[in-house]
Amino acid sequence: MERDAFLNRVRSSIGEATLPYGPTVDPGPLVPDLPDVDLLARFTEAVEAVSGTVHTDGVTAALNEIVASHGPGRLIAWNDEHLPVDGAVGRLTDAGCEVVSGDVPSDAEGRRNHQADYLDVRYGLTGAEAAFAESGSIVTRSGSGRPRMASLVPLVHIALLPTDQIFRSQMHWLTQPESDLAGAANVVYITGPSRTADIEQQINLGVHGPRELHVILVPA
Amino acid sequence: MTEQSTVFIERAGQEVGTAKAEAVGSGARVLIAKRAKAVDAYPAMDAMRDRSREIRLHTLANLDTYLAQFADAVEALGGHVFFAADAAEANQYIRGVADAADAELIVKVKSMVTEEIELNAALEEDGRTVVETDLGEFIIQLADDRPSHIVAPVLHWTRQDVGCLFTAELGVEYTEEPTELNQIARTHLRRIFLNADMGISGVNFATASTGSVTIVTNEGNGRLTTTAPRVHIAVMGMERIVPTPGDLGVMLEVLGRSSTGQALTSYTNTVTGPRREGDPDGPEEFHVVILDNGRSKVLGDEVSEILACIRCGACLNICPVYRVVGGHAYGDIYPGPVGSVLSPVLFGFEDREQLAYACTLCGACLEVCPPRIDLPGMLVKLRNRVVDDGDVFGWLNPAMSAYRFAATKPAVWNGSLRTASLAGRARPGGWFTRLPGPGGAWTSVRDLPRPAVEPFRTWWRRRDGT
Ligand code: SF4
Repeated sequence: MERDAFLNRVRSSIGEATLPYGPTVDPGPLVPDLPDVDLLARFTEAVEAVSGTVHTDGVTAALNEIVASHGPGRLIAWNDEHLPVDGAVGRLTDAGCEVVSGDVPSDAEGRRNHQADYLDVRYGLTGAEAAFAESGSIVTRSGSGRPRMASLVPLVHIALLPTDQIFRSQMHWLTQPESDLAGAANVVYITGPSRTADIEQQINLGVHGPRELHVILVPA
Repeated sequence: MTEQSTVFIERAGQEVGTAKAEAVGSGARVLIAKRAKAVDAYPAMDAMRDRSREIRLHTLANLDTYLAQFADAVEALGGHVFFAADAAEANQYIRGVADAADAELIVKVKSMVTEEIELNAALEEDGRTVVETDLGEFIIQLADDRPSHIVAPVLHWTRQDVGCLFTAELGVEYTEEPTELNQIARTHLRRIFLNADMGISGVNFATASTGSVTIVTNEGNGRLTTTAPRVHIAVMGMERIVPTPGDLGVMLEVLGRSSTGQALTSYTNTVTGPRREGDPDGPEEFHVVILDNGRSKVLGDEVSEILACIRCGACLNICPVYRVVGGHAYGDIYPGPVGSVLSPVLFGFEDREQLAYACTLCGACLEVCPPRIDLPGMLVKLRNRVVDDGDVFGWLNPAMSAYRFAATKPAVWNGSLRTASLAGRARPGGWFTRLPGPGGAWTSVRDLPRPAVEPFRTWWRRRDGT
C-alpha cells in the first residue's frame, strides 16, 4: 500500500478512537528510583543469577583460567584497539588459541564460505562498553574491528568490562546522552549466556548462542 | 498451518482435562511464579508499568506521526520500508525481496505477526525452505503443530514428546534429556543459520526517532537471524512503535519481568539499519514491513487500547480459563485474554462470538498486564456487542456445561480460580443472570458482595508454598 494512503487510514482511525490519553501528553522515559547499592557487588550477584561468571582477579589470570578449563580452541576477537587492555588477544593465542577472522565478505557466496568457518569456534573475546548492575547485563556495540559474531557464535564468550562503566540499571545508562543506542547498526544487551526454557520450562544453556559468559573486570 | 477458528466451546470441551491442556496449565504456573519473583525484586515495577502505559497510549494516539518518523529514519539509514495493508501485500513484498536476493534458505525467529500472515506457507509455495529457529517453534514446525502460548509455544509438549519427534524427524537416537535435546537442535540449526540467504524476524519494539528495531530472545536465535544472512527483513504490526530509545527502555524493563520473570531477556538486540561502512559483519540489506491487517480498524474501535499490548503473555498465564482449556481452544494464534479481545476485532466476530465469554471476569489479567490494559472491561464490552448481535443463548448452555465440567474436576481446576469467586460465580444459573446488560456491566460484577479477594500473588504463594 502506498505510504500516504496507509498513514491516512491510521489517522482517520485515531479520530474515531476512544483512547484514555490525549494525544498531546508525551510522558517520556522514567529513570526508576532504585535503592543505593554497591554497583560492583550487585552486578556480580546479578550476573551469577543468570548463570554468568564475573572475574575480578585480573585479565591474565582470568584468561588463563578459562583456557585451562576448555583447552585451546578457535577464537573470534575484537581488535585490540577496541578492548580496554592491551595484549588480551595475544594472551589467548599464546595459550594456543587460533584466531578466526571476523571480517565477513559482503557477497552471498563469499559470505557463506567465510561463515562455514564459524561452526567450531570455541572462544569469543569482546569489550563491553557498559553494564547494568540491576540486571547483570553488558552492552556490546558493532563497528569496525568489533564483529557481532564474536559474542554470538562461540561456545564461550569472554567480555572485558571497565569497572567504571557499571550503571545502576538499563534506564540509568540509556537516559544519558553517551548511550547513543542507535549510533551503531547493532547494540546488544547481553544478560547471561544463551538459554531456553522451552522444554518443560527447564533452563538449558547455550541453545544457539554461547553456553558460558565470562565478564572480566578491568580496573579503570 | 493455522487452523481456522472453530467454535470455542466445542474446542474447549475437547481440550479440557487432556494431558496437553494440563501441561499448559502447569507451565503457566511456573511462569506465574517466575514473574512474581521478578516483580517483587524490582521496587520500581509499579511506576514503570504506569509509565509504560502512558508511553503506549501516547504513541497510539499519535501513531501516524510516529510511523512516518520511523519510516523516514529507516530510509535515511539505507533501509527499505514497506507499508502493507494486509497479509497478502506483506507476503507479496517479502516474496519479492526473496526473489531478488535469490533466497532459497530462509531462517526465521519466532514472531506472532508472521504467523498471523501465514508467511511460511507463502514462501514455501515458491519452493523456498523456511526454518523456524526458536527451539519451541522448531519443534512446532517439525511436528506440524500449532503454538499454545505466545511466548512459550510448546508449553503443551512433554520432554518425551520432543524426544520421540527428534528421533522420528532428525534420525537421532532417542533421548528425553532436555540438555541433549537442546544440543541436537543447536547442532542441526547451526549450519542452517550460517548458510541462510535471508533472515526474517518480528519486532518487539520499533523506535520512531532512530529507525531502530529491537528483537528480544533468550536463545540468541534472534541475533543469529539478524546477523548471519545477507538480507534481514523485519515484520511488525504497525502498533509496535515507541517514540524514543528512552521509551524503549521503559518497555524493556517491564517486558522481561512480566513475560519470563527476567530483569532483561538474555539478548536485547537493537538493529539500526543495515551493515555500516567498516562493520565486519551484519546484513547488507535491511527491510521493514509495517503491517496493518485490521489494526487500523481496531484503532478506531472501542477496544483500541488492546493495541497497547506488548505480547508479554502474562495475561495468558494468569488466566484461569486459559490454564484449563490450553492455548489451542482459542482457535487463533493469539490465545488467552489478549486473544479473546484482539482476535474478534482483528479477524472478525464470526465463529469468535464465544471468546468474550471465555472469561470469569476475575480481573487477574488486569492485575498483571504491564501497560494495565483493561482486558476484563473490554471483554464485557465485546459481550454486549455479541448480545446485541443476536443469538447468544443458543450456545450459552454448552458454554456453561464446559465450565461446570472443568469446575467439577478439582485436579483440572486446581489453582485456577480463587475459590471464593468460583463459588460466587459458577453456580448454575447464577453466573449468567449476574452478567451484565449494556453499560456499567463490569462495575456491577465488581460490586457483587463476595468474600474479600486477596491479591492473586498472595493467594498463589499461600496455596503452593512458593
Ligand atoms: S494484554 Fe497485557 S498481559 Fe496480555 S500479553 Fe498483552 S501486554 Fe501482556
